[in-house]
Amino acid sequence: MPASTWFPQQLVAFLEAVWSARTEAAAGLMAVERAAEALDAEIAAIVCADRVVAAVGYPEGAIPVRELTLIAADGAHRELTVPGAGVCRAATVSLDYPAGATFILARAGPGGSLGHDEASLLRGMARVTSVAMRTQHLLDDERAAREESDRQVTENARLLAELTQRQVRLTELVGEQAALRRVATLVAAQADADRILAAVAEEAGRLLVADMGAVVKFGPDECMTVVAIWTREGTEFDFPVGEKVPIEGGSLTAQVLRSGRPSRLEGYRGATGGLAEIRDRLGLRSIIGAPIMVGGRIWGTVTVSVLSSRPEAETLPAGSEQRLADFTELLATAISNSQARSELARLAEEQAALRRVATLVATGTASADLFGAVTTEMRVLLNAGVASLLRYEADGTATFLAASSDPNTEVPLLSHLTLEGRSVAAAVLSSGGPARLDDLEGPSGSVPAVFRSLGMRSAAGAPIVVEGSLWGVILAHWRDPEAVPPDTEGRIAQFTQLVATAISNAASRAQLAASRARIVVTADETRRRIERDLHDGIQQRLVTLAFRLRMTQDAIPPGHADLLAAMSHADEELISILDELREISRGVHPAILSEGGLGPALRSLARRASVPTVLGIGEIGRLPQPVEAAAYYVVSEALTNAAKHANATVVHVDLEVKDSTLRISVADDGNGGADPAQGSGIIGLIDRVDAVGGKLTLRSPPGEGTSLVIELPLKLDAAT
Amino acid sequence: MPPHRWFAVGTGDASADDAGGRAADAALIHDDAKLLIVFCSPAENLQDLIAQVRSRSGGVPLIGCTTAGEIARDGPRDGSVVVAVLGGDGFVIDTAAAAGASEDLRDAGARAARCLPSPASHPHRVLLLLTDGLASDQDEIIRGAYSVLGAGVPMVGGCAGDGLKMTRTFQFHGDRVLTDSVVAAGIASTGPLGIGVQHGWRAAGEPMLVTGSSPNRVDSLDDRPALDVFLERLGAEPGQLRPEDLPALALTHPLGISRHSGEEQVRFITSADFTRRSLFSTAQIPQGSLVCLMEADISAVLAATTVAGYASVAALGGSSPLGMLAFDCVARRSILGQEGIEKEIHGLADAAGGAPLAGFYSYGEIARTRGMRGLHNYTLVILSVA
Repeated sequence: MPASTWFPQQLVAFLEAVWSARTEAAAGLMAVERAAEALDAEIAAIVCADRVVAAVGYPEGAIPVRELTLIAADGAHRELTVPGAGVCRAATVSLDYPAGATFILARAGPGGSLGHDEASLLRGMARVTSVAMRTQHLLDDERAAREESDRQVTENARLLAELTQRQVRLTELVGEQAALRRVATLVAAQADADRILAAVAEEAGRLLVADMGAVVKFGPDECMTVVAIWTREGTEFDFPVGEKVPIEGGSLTAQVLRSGRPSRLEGYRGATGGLAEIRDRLGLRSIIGAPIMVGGRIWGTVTVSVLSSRPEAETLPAGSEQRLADFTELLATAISNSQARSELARLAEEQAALRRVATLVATGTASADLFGAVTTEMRVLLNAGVASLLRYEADGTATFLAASSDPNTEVPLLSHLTLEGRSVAAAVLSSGGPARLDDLEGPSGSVPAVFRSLGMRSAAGAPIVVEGSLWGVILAHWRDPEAVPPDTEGRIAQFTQLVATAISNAASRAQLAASRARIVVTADETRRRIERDLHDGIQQRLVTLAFRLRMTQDAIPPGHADLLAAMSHADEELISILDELREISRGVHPAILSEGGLGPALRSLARRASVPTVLGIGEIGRLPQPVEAAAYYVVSEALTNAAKHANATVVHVDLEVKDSTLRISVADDGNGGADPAQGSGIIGLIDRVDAVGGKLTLRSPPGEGTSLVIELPLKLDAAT
Repeated sequence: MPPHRWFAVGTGDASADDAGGRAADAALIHDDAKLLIVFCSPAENLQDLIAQVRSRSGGVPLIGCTTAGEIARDGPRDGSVVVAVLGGDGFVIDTAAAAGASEDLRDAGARAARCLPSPASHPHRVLLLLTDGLASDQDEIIRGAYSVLGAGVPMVGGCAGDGLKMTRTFQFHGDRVLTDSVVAAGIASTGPLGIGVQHGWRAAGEPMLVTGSSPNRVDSLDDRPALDVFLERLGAEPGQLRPEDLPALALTHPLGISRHSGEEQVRFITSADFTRRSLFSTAQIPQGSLVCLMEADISAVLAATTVAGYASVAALGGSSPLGMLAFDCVARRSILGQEGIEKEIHGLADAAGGAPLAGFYSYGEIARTRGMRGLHNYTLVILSVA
């Protein structure tokens, strides 16, 4: 095969292959591979400075860079190791591009060295390689630059689009926020619900650039009420506001109610019947609505619509339903927050009222005050016209114990009512549980009649149960049936519980006082009995005995002086016994107290006292027996203590009757430092004073004497 | 004590019950198998067949492919399954499969080639490659493998066939049946490996320049329509020949690409485009190549067989072969005819000296021992294992 034929064609084939490479690196690799193939060589490589640009014939990752760069650098050094074949001669050709690069080729075998033609071919291939790689390099750069530029343009376009989108969104959000703020301001200022809803309708309508906005409340039985409407200036609209109307099947409100999701109704085209009428009458083109959720249930819907009078093209843009839904949700949050706040405020009020009543109960205020306070607190809390407290009597009637009316209402003046007919009081009596009457027009009976005459229209009540049995009832009456708060019976029940506790406490206290009084009375009677027994029994007999002894003494003949002395001694002894007995009896229960009263009894005490006693009692007359007994023993004990402990020189005892109270004061000038905890005497006094409902005050600063002041009521208070 | 290296072959009728299992049983003569190679005709359920083989061999690496006929000691046949096994601690073997080869043939070749183990203790190495026979450019696959292996590792193998249907070939790897893939076994051995490559064709007439070509087509020769030039050379009248007769004609007259070494690389012309007047070839015939019409007679072809066989044994450097793998072009089969191929196989068996033989008829043969070229047509490639 003449080289002149073969050589050029090989070169052409080489050129075509190398030129098909897409990048500089690919061109280099293609060149070494095709050169090796063309010349049947094992190894081919392009080396530039100390870098191997491309190589073929070595195992992956095992290119002997040093060996190759050495050959490229040193023209004389031409030996190359071919894997699997040993050392072979390498042919090298310089390349124009990359600058300073060398094309190396090595072939194993005896015919390894390149012949003349082959060397020419190699040179030709080297030239082609240079040109191809340089061109590819330029193309690579250009390509990279273009790609970068394209990338930038794309990126810019994307950013611009994003920015524009954001801008639009921002504008929308600003609008939404402003709308929301306006509504929230109303809510915070606790404006009427009507005003708030009207604002909602307007803001929603304006926000979505619609012709109409409305707030619709769903009622039972598939009905709805339009509670607020806003229309764009210059728009005619006609829809019954505040009226309950049935929801048309297929209408937007029906859709929202059914699905619980934002909905759109476009066109109303093809609507028939009621819907067509709506469309024609109202001129609606399209309408969207979003549900208003309150407490997890659908309360109603906010709707926004565009009228037919708008140009054909203009309609609510896609995504409007979602924007409306977002707006409504935010609203619901704002409203429910304010609702929650007002709910909290209400609860706080209620707790405060309960606390005030509880305080009264705890301090054991007299019942009339307590009942009055309860009815007042309750009336205010429940926003009622009248609140009243009744006790059930054994004969099936009820007694008014307290009532509180609002400023516009008279206070019922009755004290006693029969419970015939239908009334909350009667219901509570028969069922023992809370009851309610939403309309007082119908029921007969004196109780409803009374309240009706005061202008009341509805009532509720809860029982007062004391120690397991029905004691009475708390009633609340309202003028306006709509004003009855939810869970009224529950709230009344909280108060009845407190009242029941107070009544229970008072009853217990009264029982306790009665019990203690009984103990004292019993003790007094016992003492009186003992005294009587002593007097009637023993003392009499002793007197008789003394008399007999005297007689015996007189009968003794003269000249028996020792007998006379013995008799006289016995006589004295007897008299002394008598005296002692008398003393004892006086200590038990001085007859002088029962017979003469406090004045004489105290004078007797004072005479017998070991510390000089000054009495200041004036004319006090007779007082109730338990009071006299208490006063006597108190003074007696006080004098004893003064004698025993006080080291006093004088004791002043003063009595005074004033305002149905007996006031006793016992004061000495002794050591002071008397402690009621030490010595049972004072405790006994306290008991006795308590038992008659009195008050005892002890003041005994050390070194300043002791003073005891007792106040005893002269009328025993029946605490029932 | 099992030998350090052993090679065994089992065969069977693919349609028989448990064909794969029984062939495997026959080949698994020891416990320490290192590689199974399965050749079989395309059949209904290749997955089952492979499963049967695996049920005997367990997890031992497995590669294989479908064929245009199978080769074993007792002769060539169709519709059979041939299982060859290499075993013993004298072999260190790993396998790989590169699926989706047609997306990037070069990369597929590279991926497959990376399975070659390189323990210093096992210095003799070869990459056994089996490719999808219908891939458009087998040369690219070989370039990819070469870029990983370098000049120091020879490659042998074949392009999978499908019984001449030219529809779809299959390759096996482990328990998977793949298509459009390259599977490979990297073999490192303590004993020598020998490769023999021969075709037996010779150039006839003056070389022609490929002035226009595209992938798998030769469009113009010497600046004239390729088909016309081809027919002229063959002495056939362009008008007389019916298109359906061309393949038969082309079968016995492949083209050979001239090489520096003087040896042509034979290229299979499968058919022609009578409209565009171009020739179809299975492998690339690059523009600028010089090609010759090739011719052969049966004796030359047969002689080539013997030469290839003995050459591969000779390359063992004195060791006796434990077994041989043969990759034979399906064109040779067509040319030799039934009687011819039986003689061919017997000749091979002689060269193997009684050692077991396994192989297949392929759509292309792979043998790279010198330089970068590795794809052959009309060629017999033998790998002898010692």
